[in-house]
Amino acid sequence: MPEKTKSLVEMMDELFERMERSINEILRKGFMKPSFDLRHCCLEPLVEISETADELVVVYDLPFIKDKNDIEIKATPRSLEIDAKFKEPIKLEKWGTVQKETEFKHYHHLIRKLPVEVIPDKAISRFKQGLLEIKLPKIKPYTIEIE
Amino acid sequence: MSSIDVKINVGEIKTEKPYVLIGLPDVGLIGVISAAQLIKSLDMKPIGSIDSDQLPPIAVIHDTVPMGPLRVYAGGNVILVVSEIPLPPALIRSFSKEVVKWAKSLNPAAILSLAGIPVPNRMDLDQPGIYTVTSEPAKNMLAKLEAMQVQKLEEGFMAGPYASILNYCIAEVVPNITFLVQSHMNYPDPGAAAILLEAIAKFLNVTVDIEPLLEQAEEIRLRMRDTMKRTRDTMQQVDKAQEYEIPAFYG
Repeated sequence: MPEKTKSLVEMMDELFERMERSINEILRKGFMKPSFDLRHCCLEPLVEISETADELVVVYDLPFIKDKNDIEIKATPRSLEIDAKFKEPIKLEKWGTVQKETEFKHYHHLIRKLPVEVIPDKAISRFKQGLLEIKLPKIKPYTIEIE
Repeated sequence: MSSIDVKINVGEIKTEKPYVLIGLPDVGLIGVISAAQLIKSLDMKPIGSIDSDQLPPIAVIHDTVPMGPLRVYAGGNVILVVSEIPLPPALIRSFSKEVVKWAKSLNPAAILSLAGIPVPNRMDLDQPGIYTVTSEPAKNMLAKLEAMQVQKLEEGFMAGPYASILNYCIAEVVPNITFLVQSHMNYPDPGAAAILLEAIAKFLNVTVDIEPLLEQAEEIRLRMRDTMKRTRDTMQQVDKAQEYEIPAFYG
């Protein structure tokens, strides 16, 4: 009988592990998080983060943003936040359900924890064809000499 | 390896030597954007659907009409296979195998894949280039492609559904031309899709109106954000980034 009890425990462990993996997968894919926020009338833009040896490069796709002056970028060594205002509010007309009732006024995106520490005041950015590229130089580690 | 059941629900097709076009969610959503515009521009009609137990239980509603996410359209001598949702990676092989087998039964002139190839500097490219990859039986079309001034992809990797379709075309000795337009990887790219459609129209000798893609580019980018996000997830699972790499063999 002890063998059977052990096997049951193992099966339960396996089941819980599988459930945890599934929940994490669902959360990772963002099923629970729509790409718009009705309360703040904002849309979440598509974003891509890549790294070179010296920089962290973050690119946002911002269709309907025409002017770089409508974009605000805030950065700290560990976070990045952008807000881009539409000249005219965007209404999604016949698309979807709840979102078609809303007039969206801006894009907003916050990266609470960048993958590496950066130097925000040395960052450079450009805006071309609705794409915003932000290059954030990485903090270089100090070299410590051995006495 | 157990095979997954894929069912192609299409009646008899009487078109002789049709071109079978494939438009799937992948790099820059080129296939989906191009397919949507082809349907409108060539006034193509739905003739069937594709189903599998491996597909998520999803119905799409357009103009109040519900439909499955994987559909087949026809117009003139063109048959179009299109998906509005990214194919689950576990389904890619079975889907490709069945689609190629079915297309072969139509005795097609060729299977044409409407695809993108990611380029990191897309932001700086005003006129993205087009590459093609052809399976052996499509070699008789090379002169036509050369006249169109599209380049052959000489060395590189393909990953994902279009790679799988190409592989099954090689195995089944079916002519396949994969058109790969330089595009963004993770953003919908209607500008690149327009360039691809120009080439496809020239190849098929049909008129395709690409103006709406350029005029409504921002609207397309905005409304396709969610499809792009989901496609990005599946692209990660099939190691799409390998398309940036160079194969190991050398001459």
